[in-house]
Amino acid sequence: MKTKISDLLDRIEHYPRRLRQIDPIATEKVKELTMRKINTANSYEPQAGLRQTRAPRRAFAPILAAMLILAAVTTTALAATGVIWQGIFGTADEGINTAVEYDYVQNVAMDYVVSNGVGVRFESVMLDNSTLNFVVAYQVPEAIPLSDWINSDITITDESGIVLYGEGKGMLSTGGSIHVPITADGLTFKMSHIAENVQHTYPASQKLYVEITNIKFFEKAPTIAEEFNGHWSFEIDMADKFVDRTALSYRGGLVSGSEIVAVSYANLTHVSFDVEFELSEPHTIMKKIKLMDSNGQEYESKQIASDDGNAPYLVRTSFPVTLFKTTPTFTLYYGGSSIELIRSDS
Amino acid sequence: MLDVFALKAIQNRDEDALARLIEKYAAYVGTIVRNILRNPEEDVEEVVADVFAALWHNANRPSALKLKSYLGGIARNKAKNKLRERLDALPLEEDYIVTADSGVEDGVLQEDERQKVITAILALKEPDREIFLRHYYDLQHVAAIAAALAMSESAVKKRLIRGREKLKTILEQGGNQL
Repeated sequence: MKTKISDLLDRIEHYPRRLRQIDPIATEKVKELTMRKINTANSYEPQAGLRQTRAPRRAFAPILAAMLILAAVTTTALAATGVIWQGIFGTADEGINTAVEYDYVQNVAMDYVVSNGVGVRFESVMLDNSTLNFVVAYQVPEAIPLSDWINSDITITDESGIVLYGEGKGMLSTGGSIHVPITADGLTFKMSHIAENVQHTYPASQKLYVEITNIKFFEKAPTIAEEFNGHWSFEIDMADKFVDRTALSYRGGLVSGSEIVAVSYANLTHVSFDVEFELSEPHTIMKKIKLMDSNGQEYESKQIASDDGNAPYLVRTSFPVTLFKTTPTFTLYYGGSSIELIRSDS
Repeated sequence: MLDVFALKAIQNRDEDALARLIEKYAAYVGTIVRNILRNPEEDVEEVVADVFAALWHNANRPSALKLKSYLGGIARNKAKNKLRERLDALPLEEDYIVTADSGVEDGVLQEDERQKVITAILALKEPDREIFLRHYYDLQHVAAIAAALAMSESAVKKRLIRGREKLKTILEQGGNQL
Protein backbone atom coordinates (compact mmCIF):
# COMPACT_ATOMS: atom_id res chain seq x y z
CA MET A 1 0.00 0.00 0.00
CA LYS A 2 1.03 3.61 -0.48
CA THR A 3 1.48 5.78 2.57
CA LYS A 4 2.00 9.52 2.73
CA ILE A 5 5.34 10.48 4.24
CA SER A 6 3.65 12.69 6.85
CA ASP A 7 1.35 9.80 7.79
CA LEU A 8 4.35 7.49 7.98
CA LEU A 9 6.09 9.86 10.39
CA ASP A 10 2.84 10.07 12.35
CA ARG A 11 3.03 6.36 12.91
CA ILE A 12 6.45 6.45 14.53
CA GLU A 13 4.65 8.28 17.32
CA HIS A 14 7.16 10.52 19.10
CA TYR A 15 10.44 11.11 17.36
CA PRO A 16 13.14 11.59 19.99
CA ARG A 17 14.33 14.92 18.69
CA ARG A 18 16.34 17.51 20.51
CA LEU A 19 14.58 20.84 20.22
CA ARG A 20 16.88 23.67 19.20
CA GLN A 21 15.28 26.11 21.58
CA ILE A 22 12.76 25.79 24.35
CA ASP A 23 10.60 28.88 24.53
CA PRO A 24 8.89 30.00 27.73
CA ILE A 25 5.17 29.69 28.21
CA ALA A 26 2.69 31.22 30.63
CA THR A 27 2.91 28.35 33.09
CA GLU A 28 0.40 29.73 35.57
CA LYS A 29 -2.15 30.18 32.81
CA VAL A 30 -1.56 26.63 31.60
CA LYS A 31 -2.07 25.39 35.17
CA GLU A 32 -5.33 27.28 35.44
CA LEU A 33 -6.59 26.00 32.08
CA THR A 34 -5.58 22.45 32.93
CA MET A 35 -7.28 22.49 36.32
CA ARG A 36 -10.41 23.89 34.70
CA LYS A 37 -10.41 21.11 32.14
CA ILE A 38 -9.93 18.33 34.66
CA ASN A 39 -12.46 19.78 37.07
CA THR A 40 -15.14 20.17 34.42
CA ALA A 41 -14.58 16.56 33.51
CA ASN A 42 -15.28 15.21 36.95
CA SER A 43 -17.78 12.76 35.59
CA TYR A 44 -15.10 11.42 33.29
CA GLU A 45 -13.82 8.11 34.45
CA PRO A 46 -10.04 8.14 34.05
CA GLN A 47 -9.68 4.40 33.79
CA ALA A 48 -12.36 4.39 31.11
CA GLY A 49 -10.13 6.72 29.16
CA LEU A 50 -7.38 4.17 29.32
CA ARG A 51 -9.68 1.49 28.02
CA GLN A 52 -10.96 3.63 25.19
CA THR A 53 -7.51 4.41 23.93
CA ARG A 54 -5.92 1.05 24.41
CA ALA A 55 -5.34 -0.75 21.21
CA PRO A 56 -6.86 -4.17 20.71
CA ARG A 57 -3.97 -6.52 20.21
CA ARG A 58 -3.51 -10.18 19.86
CA ALA A 59 -0.44 -9.99 22.05
CA PHE A 60 -0.74 -8.69 25.57
CA ALA A 61 -0.76 -4.94 25.38
CA PRO A 62 2.70 -3.36 25.64
CA ILE A 63 1.20 -0.48 27.59
CA LEU A 64 0.96 -2.87 30.47
CA ALA A 65 4.67 -3.41 30.28
CA ALA A 66 5.02 0.32 30.70
CA MET A 67 2.74 0.10 33.71
CA LEU A 68 4.96 -2.58 35.15
CA ILE A 69 7.98 -0.38 34.63
CA LEU A 70 6.23 2.46 36.38
CA ALA A 71 5.28 0.28 39.26
CA ALA A 72 8.78 -1.02 39.56
CA VAL A 73 10.42 2.36 39.31
CA THR A 74 8.00 3.70 41.86
CA THR A 75 9.29 1.15 44.26
CA THR A 76 12.80 2.13 43.25
CA ALA A 77 12.47 5.76 44.08
CA LEU A 78 10.65 5.05 47.28
CA ALA A 79 13.42 2.79 48.34
CA ALA A 80 16.08 5.16 47.13
CA THR A 81 14.79 8.14 49.01
CA GLY A 82 13.66 6.21 52.02
CA VAL A 83 17.02 4.46 52.18
CA ILE A 84 15.32 1.24 53.09
CA TRP A 85 17.08 -1.73 51.58
CA GLN A 86 15.33 -4.92 52.56
CA GLY A 87 16.96 -8.28 52.03
CA ILE A 88 19.43 -9.06 49.30
CA PHE A 89 17.38 -7.43 46.55
CA GLY A 90 16.33 -4.33 48.46
CA THR A 91 12.65 -5.05 48.08
CA ALA A 92 9.74 -5.67 50.41
CA ASP A 93 8.34 -8.26 47.99
CA GLU A 94 7.37 -11.15 50.25
CA GLY A 95 7.78 -13.72 47.50
CA ILE A 96 11.33 -12.65 46.67
CA ASN A 97 12.37 -12.39 50.31
CA THR A 98 10.87 -15.79 51.13
CA ALA A 99 12.78 -17.30 48.23
CA VAL A 100 16.00 -15.74 49.57
CA GLU A 101 15.20 -17.06 53.03
CA TYR A 102 15.04 -20.56 51.56
CA ASP A 103 18.31 -20.00 49.66
CA TYR A 104 16.69 -19.66 46.24
CA VAL A 105 19.34 -17.11 45.35
CA GLN A 106 22.83 -17.25 43.88
CA ASN A 107 25.66 -15.20 45.28
CA VAL A 108 27.97 -14.39 42.40
CA ALA A 109 31.64 -14.55 43.22
CA MET A 110 33.42 -12.36 40.73
CA ASP A 111 35.91 -9.51 40.58
CA TYR A 112 35.03 -6.11 39.23
CA VAL A 113 35.14 -5.94 35.44
CA VAL A 114 36.77 -2.59 34.70
CA SER A 115 36.26 -0.39 31.66
CA ASN A 116 36.92 3.34 31.40
CA GLY A 117 37.99 3.30 35.03
CA VAL A 118 34.64 2.03 36.28
CA GLY A 119 34.27 -1.40 37.86
CA VAL A 120 31.11 -3.47 37.53
CA ARG A 121 30.20 -6.80 39.02
CA PHE A 122 27.11 -8.85 39.78
CA GLU A 123 26.66 -9.73 43.44
CA SER A 124 23.44 -11.77 43.45
CA VAL A 125 21.04 -13.24 40.93
CA MET A 126 17.66 -14.98 41.04
CA LEU A 127 15.84 -16.52 38.09
CA ASP A 128 12.31 -17.89 38.15
CA ASN A 129 9.42 -18.28 35.71
CA SER A 130 8.30 -14.66 35.84
CA THR A 131 11.18 -12.98 37.65
CA LEU A 132 14.80 -12.15 36.93
CA ASN A 133 16.47 -10.30 39.79
CA PHE A 134 20.07 -9.22 40.05
CA VAL A 135 22.18 -6.87 42.12
CA VAL A 136 24.92 -4.90 40.38
CA ALA A 137 27.78 -3.21 42.20
CA TYR A 138 29.61 -0.25 40.68
CA GLN A 139 32.98 1.22 41.63
CA VAL A 140 33.84 4.65 40.24
CA PRO A 141 37.32 6.29 40.09
CA GLU A 142 36.32 9.53 41.78
CA ALA A 143 33.65 10.09 44.37
CA ILE A 144 30.20 11.00 43.13
CA PRO A 145 28.63 13.02 45.93
CA LEU A 146 25.03 11.93 45.55
CA SER A 147 23.30 9.62 43.18
CA ASP A 148 19.55 9.72 42.80
CA TRP A 149 19.67 6.54 40.82
CA ILE A 150 21.76 4.75 38.22
CA ASN A 151 20.61 3.89 34.74
CA SER A 152 22.78 1.34 32.95
CA ASP A 153 22.35 0.10 29.45
CA ILE A 154 22.38 -3.56 30.44
CA THR A 155 21.65 -6.43 28.09
CA ILE A 156 21.48 -10.00 29.37
CA THR A 157 21.25 -12.91 26.97
CA ASP A 158 21.49 -16.61 27.64
CA GLU A 159 23.24 -19.50 25.90
CA SER A 160 20.38 -19.76 23.40
CA GLY A 161 20.64 -16.10 22.45
CA ILE A 162 17.39 -15.21 24.18
CA VAL A 163 17.43 -11.67 25.49
CA LEU A 164 16.35 -11.89 29.12
CA TYR A 165 16.88 -8.28 30.05
CA GLY A 166 17.30 -5.02 28.21
CA GLU A 167 14.55 -2.56 27.58
CA GLY A 168 13.18 -2.88 24.07
CA LYS A 169 15.78 -5.48 23.14
CA GLY A 170 14.01 -8.76 23.49
CA MET A 171 10.73 -10.51 23.93
CA LEU A 172 11.39 -11.28 27.54
CA SER A 173 12.56 -7.87 28.58
CA THR A 174 10.23 -5.61 30.45
CA GLY A 175 12.73 -2.98 31.45
CA GLY A 176 11.16 -3.00 34.87
CA SER A 177 13.73 -2.46 37.55
CA ILE A 178 14.09 -1.48 41.12
CA HIS A 179 17.12 0.70 41.50
CA VAL A 180 18.36 1.32 44.98
CA PRO A 181 21.71 3.04 45.13
CA ILE A 182 23.81 2.63 48.19
CA THR A 183 26.94 4.60 48.72
CA ALA A 184 29.04 4.81 51.82
CA ASP A 185 32.04 6.61 50.40
CA GLY A 186 30.80 7.98 47.10
CA LEU A 187 32.95 5.41 45.28
CA THR A 188 30.82 2.29 45.46
CA PHE A 189 27.19 1.84 44.58
CA LYS A 190 24.81 -1.06 44.51
CA MET A 191 21.67 -1.37 42.46
CA SER A 192 18.98 -4.01 42.49
CA HIS A 193 17.14 -4.86 39.31
CA ILE A 194 13.79 -6.61 39.57
CA ALA A 195 12.55 -7.65 36.14
CA GLU A 196 9.10 -9.15 36.60
CA ASN A 197 7.35 -10.41 33.55
CA VAL A 198 4.01 -12.19 33.50
CA GLN A 199 3.77 -11.99 29.74
CA HIS A 200 6.42 -14.62 29.07
CA THR A 201 8.23 -17.35 30.95
CA TYR A 202 11.92 -16.94 31.55
CA PRO A 203 13.80 -19.98 30.24
CA ALA A 204 15.88 -22.32 32.39
CA SER A 205 19.07 -20.59 31.28
CA GLN A 206 22.38 -22.17 32.22
CA LYS A 207 24.46 -19.10 31.45
CA LEU A 208 23.86 -15.39 31.51
CA TYR A 209 25.93 -13.19 29.20
CA VAL A 210 25.97 -9.64 30.52
CA GLU A 211 26.86 -6.62 28.37
CA ILE A 212 26.90 -3.03 29.61
CA THR A 213 27.82 -0.12 27.37
CA ASN A 214 26.72 2.97 29.25
CA ILE A 215 26.22 3.92 32.89
CA LYS A 216 24.56 7.11 34.04
CA PHE A 217 24.67 8.28 37.63
CA PHE A 218 21.85 10.69 38.23
CA GLU A 219 22.40 13.44 40.74
CA LYS A 220 18.69 14.12 40.67
CA ALA A 221 16.86 12.90 37.62
CA PRO A 222 17.00 14.14 34.92
CA THR A 223 20.32 15.76 35.95
CA ILE A 224 23.20 13.42 35.25
CA ALA A 225 26.07 13.63 37.72
CA GLU A 226 28.39 11.34 35.80
CA GLU A 227 28.10 9.30 32.63
CA PHE A 228 30.49 6.56 31.57
CA ASN A 229 30.72 4.79 28.25
CA GLY A 230 32.65 1.57 28.07
CA HIS A 231 32.36 -2.15 27.54
CA TRP A 232 31.67 -4.26 30.56
CA SER A 233 31.15 -7.87 29.56
CA PHE A 234 31.06 -11.05 31.61
CA GLU A 235 29.22 -14.35 31.93
CA ILE A 236 27.62 -16.09 34.87
CA ASP A 237 27.10 -19.82 35.30
CA MET A 238 23.64 -20.24 36.71
CA ALA A 239 23.08 -22.47 39.73
CA ASP A 240 21.31 -25.79 39.24
CA LYS A 241 18.43 -24.62 41.44
CA PHE A 242 17.43 -22.20 38.69
CA VAL A 243 18.07 -24.56 35.79
CA ASP A 244 16.16 -27.45 37.39
CA ARG A 245 13.44 -25.37 38.99
CA THR A 246 9.95 -26.78 39.30
CA ALA A 247 6.50 -25.41 40.03
CA LEU A 248 3.36 -26.66 41.71
CA SER A 249 0.35 -26.68 39.42
CA TYR A 250 -3.14 -25.72 40.60
CA ARG A 251 -6.47 -26.19 38.79
CA GLY A 252 -9.67 -24.24 38.94
CA GLY A 253 -12.42 -25.45 41.27
CA LEU A 254 -15.62 -23.95 42.59
CA VAL A 255 -16.58 -20.68 40.91
CA SER A 256 -18.62 -17.96 42.53
CA GLY A 257 -20.05 -15.07 40.49
CA SER A 258 -20.18 -14.61 36.75
CA GLU A 259 -16.97 -12.74 35.92
CA ILE A 260 -14.42 -15.57 36.01
CA VAL A 261 -14.95 -18.18 33.31
CA ALA A 262 -11.97 -20.47 33.87
CA VAL A 263 -8.35 -20.69 34.99
CA SER A 264 -5.92 -21.39 32.15
CA TYR A 265 -3.01 -22.11 34.47
CA ALA A 266 -1.98 -21.45 38.05
CA ASN A 267 1.64 -22.22 38.90
CA LEU A 268 3.15 -21.77 42.31
CA THR A 269 6.88 -21.21 41.81
CA HIS A 270 9.85 -20.47 44.04
CA VAL A 271 9.17 -16.74 43.90
CA SER A 272 5.55 -16.15 42.92
CA PHE A 273 2.15 -17.58 42.12
CA ASP A 274 1.52 -17.00 38.41
CA VAL A 275 -2.07 -17.26 37.21
CA GLU A 276 -3.83 -16.82 33.91
CA PHE A 277 -7.62 -16.77 33.94
CA GLU A 278 -10.41 -16.04 31.48
CA LEU A 279 -13.12 -13.46 32.04
CA SER A 280 -16.63 -13.27 30.66
CA GLU A 281 -16.00 -9.68 29.59
CA PRO A 282 -12.94 -7.47 29.05
CA HIS A 283 -10.79 -6.78 32.07
CA THR A 284 -11.08 -3.39 33.71
CA ILE A 285 -8.45 -2.12 36.09
CA MET A 286 -11.27 -1.00 38.39
CA LYS A 287 -11.75 -4.64 39.35
CA LYS A 288 -9.50 -5.62 42.21
CA ILE A 289 -7.58 -8.87 41.93
CA LYS A 290 -6.38 -10.65 45.03
CA LEU A 291 -5.48 -14.10 46.30
CA MET A 292 -6.25 -15.72 49.63
CA ASP A 293 -4.61 -18.86 50.94
CA SER A 294 -6.43 -21.46 53.02
CA ASN A 295 -5.13 -19.79 56.19
CA GLY A 296 -6.90 -16.57 55.31
CA GLN A 297 -3.68 -14.75 54.32
CA GLU A 298 -4.37 -12.29 51.49
CA TYR A 299 -1.99 -11.31 48.70
CA GLU A 300 -2.31 -8.35 46.35
CA SER A 301 -1.48 -8.94 42.70
CA LYS A 302 2.00 -7.73 41.74
CA GLN A 303 1.63 -7.49 38.01
CA ILE A 304 -1.36 -7.63 35.69
CA ALA A 305 -1.40 -8.04 31.93
CA SER A 306 -4.57 -8.35 29.92
CA ASP A 307 -5.71 -8.53 26.35
CA ASP A 308 -9.10 -6.93 26.45
CA GLY A 309 -9.39 -6.30 22.74
CA ASN A 310 -10.40 -9.75 21.63
CA ALA A 311 -12.10 -12.72 23.21
CA PRO A 312 -11.11 -14.81 25.04
CA TYR A 313 -10.57 -12.13 27.64
CA LEU A 314 -7.47 -13.35 29.43
CA VAL A 315 -5.72 -11.86 32.43
CA ARG A 316 -2.25 -12.82 33.60
CA THR A 317 -1.12 -11.87 37.04
CA SER A 318 1.19 -12.95 39.83
CA PHE A 319 1.17 -12.83 43.61
CA PRO A 320 4.03 -12.70 46.16
CA VAL A 321 3.49 -16.19 47.55
CA THR A 322 5.88 -19.07 46.96
CA LEU A 323 5.91 -22.84 47.02
CA PHE A 324 7.90 -22.58 50.26
CA LYS A 325 4.69 -21.46 51.94
CA THR A 326 2.08 -23.39 50.05
CA THR A 327 -1.40 -24.36 51.14
CA PRO A 328 -3.68 -27.01 49.58
CA THR A 329 -6.03 -24.43 48.15
CA PHE A 330 -6.11 -20.76 47.29
CA THR A 331 -9.01 -18.53 46.32
CA LEU A 332 -8.63 -16.06 43.48
CA TYR A 333 -10.86 -13.00 43.68
CA TYR A 334 -11.76 -10.78 40.75
CA GLY A 335 -14.23 -7.99 41.51
CA GLY A 336 -17.24 -9.72 43.02
CA SER A 337 -16.34 -13.15 41.72
CA SER A 338 -13.99 -15.83 42.95
CA ILE A 339 -12.63 -19.20 41.96
CA GLU A 340 -11.05 -21.87 44.10
CA LEU A 341 -7.59 -23.08 43.10
CA ILE A 342 -6.80 -26.66 44.09
CA ARG A 343 -3.40 -28.35 43.97
CA SER A 344 -3.45 -30.59 40.89
CA ASP A 345 -1.71 -33.46 42.70
CA SER A 346 -4.23 -33.53 45.55
CA MET B 1 9.56 15.96 42.96
CA LEU B 2 10.72 13.00 40.91
CA ASP B 3 8.52 12.14 37.94
CA VAL B 4 7.87 8.72 39.35
CA PHE B 5 6.47 10.22 42.53
CA ALA B 6 4.49 12.79 40.62
CA LEU B 7 2.88 10.19 38.38
CA LYS B 8 1.99 8.05 41.34
CA ALA B 9 0.53 11.08 43.11
CA ILE B 10 -1.48 12.04 40.03
CA GLN B 11 -2.95 8.56 39.97
CA ASN B 12 -4.08 9.35 43.50
CA ARG B 13 -5.62 12.58 42.22
CA ASP B 14 -3.03 14.95 43.66
CA GLU B 15 -3.42 18.24 41.77
CA ASP B 16 -0.24 19.69 43.29
CA ALA B 17 1.75 16.90 41.68
CA LEU B 18 0.20 17.75 38.31
CA ALA B 19 1.12 21.39 38.88
CA ARG B 20 4.75 20.34 39.51
CA LEU B 21 4.86 18.48 36.22
CA ILE B 22 3.31 21.44 34.42
CA GLU B 23 6.04 23.67 35.83
CA LYS B 24 8.66 21.22 34.70
CA TYR B 25 7.42 20.35 31.22
CA ALA B 26 5.05 23.12 30.06
CA ALA B 27 7.76 25.01 28.17
CA TYR B 28 8.90 21.84 26.42
CA VAL B 29 5.36 20.86 25.48
CA GLY B 30 4.60 24.45 24.49
CA THR B 31 7.57 24.53 22.12
CA ILE B 32 6.37 21.41 20.32
CA VAL B 33 2.83 22.75 20.07
CA ARG B 34 4.00 26.18 18.95
CA ASN B 35 6.18 24.69 16.22
CA ILE B 36 3.06 23.15 14.73
CA LEU B 37 0.40 25.77 15.46
CA ARG B 38 2.71 28.81 15.30
CA ASN B 39 0.00 31.08 16.74
CA PRO B 40 -2.04 32.46 18.34
CA GLU B 41 -0.48 31.90 21.77
CA GLU B 42 -3.97 31.33 23.25
CA ASP B 43 -4.33 28.26 21.07
CA VAL B 44 -0.90 27.05 22.13
CA GLU B 45 -1.76 27.40 25.82
CA GLU B 46 -5.11 25.69 25.26
CA VAL B 47 -3.46 22.68 23.62
CA VAL B 48 -0.72 22.51 26.25
CA ALA B 49 -3.47 22.39 28.89
CA ASP B 50 -5.14 19.59 26.89
CA VAL B 51 -1.88 17.64 27.01
CA PHE B 52 -1.64 17.84 30.79
CA ALA B 53 -5.36 17.10 31.18
CA ALA B 54 -4.73 13.96 29.12
CA LEU B 55 -1.86 13.07 31.45
CA TRP B 56 -4.21 13.51 34.41
CA HIS B 57 -6.68 11.07 32.92
CA ASN B 58 -4.04 8.56 31.86
CA ALA B 59 -1.38 8.89 34.54
CA ASN B 60 -0.93 5.15 34.67
CA ARG B 61 0.11 4.96 31.02
CA PRO B 62 3.53 6.57 30.72
CA SER B 63 6.70 5.22 32.22
CA ALA B 64 8.37 7.78 34.45
CA LEU B 65 11.54 7.18 32.47
CA LYS B 66 9.82 8.18 29.26
CA LEU B 67 7.43 10.82 30.49
CA LYS B 68 9.01 13.58 28.44
CA SER B 69 8.75 11.53 25.28
CA TYR B 70 5.16 10.59 26.11
CA LEU B 71 4.21 14.23 26.61
CA GLY B 72 5.93 15.12 23.35
CA GLY B 73 3.89 12.58 21.44
CA ILE B 74 0.62 13.71 22.99
CA ALA B 75 1.52 17.34 22.31
CA ARG B 76 2.16 16.70 18.66
CA ASN B 77 -1.08 14.77 18.16
CA LYS B 78 -3.20 17.34 19.92
CA ALA B 79 -1.55 20.19 18.03
CA LYS B 80 -2.23 18.44 14.76
CA ASN B 81 -5.86 17.95 15.70
CA LYS B 82 -6.11 21.63 16.50
CA LEU B 83 -4.60 22.44 13.16
CA ARG B 84 -7.24 20.35 11.43
CA GLU B 85 -9.98 22.11 13.40
CA ARG B 86 -8.79 25.38 11.99
CA LEU B 87 -9.19 23.99 8.51
CA ASP B 88 -5.84 25.43 7.64
CA ALA B 89 -3.92 22.24 7.47
CA LEU B 90 -0.89 22.95 5.40
CA PRO B 91 -0.47 21.63 1.91
CA LEU B 92 2.68 19.55 2.14
CA GLU B 93 5.11 18.62 -0.54
CA GLU B 94 3.73 15.11 -0.25
CA ASP B 95 4.90 11.90 -1.72
CA TYR B 96 4.16 8.28 -1.04
CA ILE B 97 6.21 5.44 0.34
CA VAL B 98 5.30 1.87 -0.51
CA THR B 99 4.44 0.15 2.74
CA ALA B 100 3.07 -3.20 3.69
CA ASP B 101 -0.24 -3.29 5.52
CA SER B 102 0.65 -6.14 7.79
CA GLY B 103 2.09 -5.62 11.22
CA VAL B 104 0.65 -2.17 11.66
CA GLU B 105 -1.92 -1.93 14.39
CA ASP B 106 -3.98 1.16 15.02
CA GLY B 107 -1.68 3.37 13.01
CA VAL B 108 1.29 2.63 15.22
CA LEU B 109 4.31 0.95 13.73
CA GLN B 110 5.79 -2.11 15.27
CA GLU B 111 9.06 -1.40 17.07
CA ASP B 112 11.32 -2.83 14.38
CA GLU B 113 9.50 -0.89 11.67
CA ARG B 114 9.61 2.24 13.76
CA GLN B 115 13.35 1.80 14.18
CA LYS B 116 13.66 1.38 10.42
CA VAL B 117 11.94 4.70 9.77
CA ILE B 118 14.01 6.44 12.42
CA THR B 119 17.18 4.92 10.98
CA ALA B 120 16.18 6.20 7.56
CA ILE B 121 15.64 9.68 8.98
CA LEU B 122 18.98 9.57 10.76
CA ALA B 123 20.62 8.63 7.47
CA LEU B 124 19.68 12.03 6.07
CA LYS B 125 22.45 14.58 6.47
CA GLU B 126 21.94 18.04 7.89
CA PRO B 127 20.33 20.32 6.96
CA ASP B 128 18.21 17.87 4.92
CA ARG B 129 17.12 16.05 8.07
CA GLU B 130 16.14 19.25 9.82
CA ILE B 131 14.18 20.45 6.78
CA PHE B 132 12.55 17.05 6.39
CA LEU B 133 11.45 16.86 10.01
CA ARG B 134 10.25 20.45 10.11
CA HIS B 135 8.10 19.83 7.06
CA TYR B 136 6.72 16.34 7.62
CA TYR B 137 6.90 16.05 11.38
CA ASP B 138 6.31 19.60 12.55
CA LEU B 139 4.13 20.33 9.51
CA GLN B 140 5.87 23.61 8.82
CA HIS B 141 5.36 25.07 5.39
CA VAL B 142 8.22 25.71 3.02
CA ALA B 143 8.24 29.47 3.50
CA ALA B 144 8.53 29.17 7.27
CA ILE B 145 11.37 26.68 7.02
CA ALA B 146 13.16 28.88 4.52
CA ALA B 147 12.85 31.86 6.84
CA ALA B 148 13.97 29.92 9.90
CA LEU B 149 17.03 28.43 8.21
CA ALA B 150 17.90 31.47 6.10
CA MET B 151 17.47 29.63 2.83
CA SER B 152 15.46 30.26 -0.30
CA GLU B 153 12.16 28.46 -0.74
CA SER B 154 13.42 26.76 -3.86
CA ALA B 155 16.43 25.43 -1.93
CA VAL B 156 14.13 24.04 0.74
CA LYS B 157 11.95 22.35 -1.90
CA LYS B 158 14.99 20.82 -3.59
CA ARG B 159 16.22 19.43 -0.29
CA LEU B 160 12.76 18.04 0.45
CA ILE B 161 12.76 16.25 -2.89
CA ARG B 162 16.22 14.89 -2.11
CA GLY B 163 15.09 13.81 1.35
CA ARG B 164 12.05 12.01 0.00
CA GLU B 165 14.13 10.16 -2.55
CA LYS B 166 16.65 9.11 0.10
CA LEU B 167 13.91 7.97 2.44
CA LYS B 168 12.21 5.97 -0.29
CA THR B 169 15.49 4.40 -1.30
CA ILE B 170 16.36 3.42 2.26
CA LEU B 171 12.91 2.09 3.09
CA GLU B 172 12.21 0.30 -0.15
CA GLN B 173 15.64 -1.21 -0.64
CA GLY B 174 17.28 -3.91 1.36
CA GLY B 175 14.44 -6.34 0.77
CA ASN B 176 12.50 -4.99 3.68
CA GLN B 177 9.62 -2.87 2.69
CA LEU B 178 7.61 -1.41 5.47
